[in-house]
Amino acid sequence: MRFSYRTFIFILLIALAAAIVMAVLLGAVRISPSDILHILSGRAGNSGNAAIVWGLRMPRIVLALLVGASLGAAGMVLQAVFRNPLADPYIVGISSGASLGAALILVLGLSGPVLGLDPLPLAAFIGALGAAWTVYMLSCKDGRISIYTLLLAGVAVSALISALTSFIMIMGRRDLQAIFFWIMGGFYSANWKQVLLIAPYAVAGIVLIWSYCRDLNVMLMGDEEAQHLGLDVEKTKRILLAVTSLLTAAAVSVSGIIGFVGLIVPHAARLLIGPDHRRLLWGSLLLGALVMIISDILARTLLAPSEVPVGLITAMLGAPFFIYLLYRRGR
Amino acid sequence: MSLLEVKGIVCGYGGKPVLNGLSLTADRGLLTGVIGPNGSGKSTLIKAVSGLLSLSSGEICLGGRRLCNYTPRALACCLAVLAQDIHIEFEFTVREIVAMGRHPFLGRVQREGLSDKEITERAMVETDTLHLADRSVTTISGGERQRVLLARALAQQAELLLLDEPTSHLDIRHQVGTARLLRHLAAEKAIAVLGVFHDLNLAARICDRLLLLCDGHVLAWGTPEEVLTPDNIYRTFGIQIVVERSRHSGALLVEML
Repeated sequence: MRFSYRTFIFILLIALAAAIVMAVLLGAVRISPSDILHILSGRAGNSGNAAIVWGLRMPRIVLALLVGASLGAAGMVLQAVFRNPLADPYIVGISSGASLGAALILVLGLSGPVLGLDPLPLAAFIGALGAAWTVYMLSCKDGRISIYTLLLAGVAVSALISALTSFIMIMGRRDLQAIFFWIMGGFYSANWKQVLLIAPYAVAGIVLIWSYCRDLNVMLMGDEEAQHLGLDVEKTKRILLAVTSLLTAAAVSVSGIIGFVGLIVPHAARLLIGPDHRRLLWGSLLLGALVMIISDILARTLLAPSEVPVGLITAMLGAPFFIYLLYRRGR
Repeated sequence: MSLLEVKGIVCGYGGKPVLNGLSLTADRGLLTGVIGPNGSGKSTLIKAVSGLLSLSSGEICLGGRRLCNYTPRALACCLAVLAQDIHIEFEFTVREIVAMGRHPFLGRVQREGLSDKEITERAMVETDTLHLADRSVTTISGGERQRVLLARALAQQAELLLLDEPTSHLDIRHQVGTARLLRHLAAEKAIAVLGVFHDLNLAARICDRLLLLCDGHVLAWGTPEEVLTPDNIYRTFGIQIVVERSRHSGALLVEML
């Protein structure tokens, strides 16, 4: 079943707008739609409700949107680079590296700003890039990156780092719940500072990926074929891996490990509008943002007033869908 | 000066040379066929000339310029390759695949223009694949895919066309069609065609020159009459043949005994 591209994008835009409206309306505190209109148009002054809408709900929506779009785009690129529709943004060890960084900070109890930045996202960002860098170095031989080795190195490095993280969690038992919550991913601490932290990476990364869309198409033909069509395969691979690592690391540093979105979103978009990346990119960005905002609404409201980690929601929605895709593929 | 000059190249995989000091030339307007037994280095030759292998010695020049001095993109503008057994798992339409032949001519974010679309369309007409244009490339047959990839190579409008067994999956109608097309490209458009062929009769019929490979070096090089002799074939393939002229077409016929 293929949708026409325009119809698909139109439906996504409508759904995204509806999801954003829902996300502003729903929450632990009931605020009537007319009050929210007043607040958003800036006529409500500094009431408590205005603080909730502007200080809590809006940054949370924008952050979910950016993280969802980033993971969707990064997943799309990696699926093309690996020529495997089941690759995801965490394939090169980013999730495990970020978790290790976050766990260290939580166990050590650091909370003061480092270089003017929150230490937690900073450590997660550094951990993520460190893990990705290690995996690249392991799979780089004679200036070429072997995709197969990259996959195996990703699994091995992730396993090693996860073991280290578990060890740290056992050592710092009293912080177990905080670490666990961080690893499951979520937007409960969302603020405008985090939005500003991730926005440059998201925007620059997505613009760069956009300029590589035709190269991604050619890349799907295989390394040799891509070179026959004039692509500098190794250079393109390196650039794309670096960009997706930065994009994913930035997203993970503010939201934790939110699984399945980077895997399912590009895959589903490809099933619906085909593999041409010049279209697929917009599909993946919008669908990623939509899925993330809906998941966050569920995370906030399912057990309100307490929160469910978003990563749990995306796994519960994503895993069955993934199994369905595997089943379809197997037939 | 020949368009393609291969001078004494030694190359292979992982330090083991497959080609041992091989030399050849390919000229505009000529169809050059490469024949030889399995493992004699035919596909390696195609890979070397397409710039995928690094040479341990010797050099390859295209249009008077060494191959290693081309960027991949500049190379793809003058050299197109139809490789063997390409599998495409992603559901691109046939038209999208053929249009990829225009990739090296387009800027980073440039879309295909009217002339690119015309070139794509014509390449599909010439390879009898236009009726497949909107089909997914994952649902067509092996022979159809081979023609689609030939169309993609044509869309590159290259001066040198490298073909690794371009007719291996084709039925006889499309074998004849492809053979005619290759002759036409060489004769009318002055393209240099270098192709690997397994079918000696087909090679004898359409090629201007033949190159007989044996263990990574050239055993014979010349017109089909000069190359396809019982002696040469016995020395390379180890089988007895007789060569005669067809009473109907006048073409060279190779018959295994």
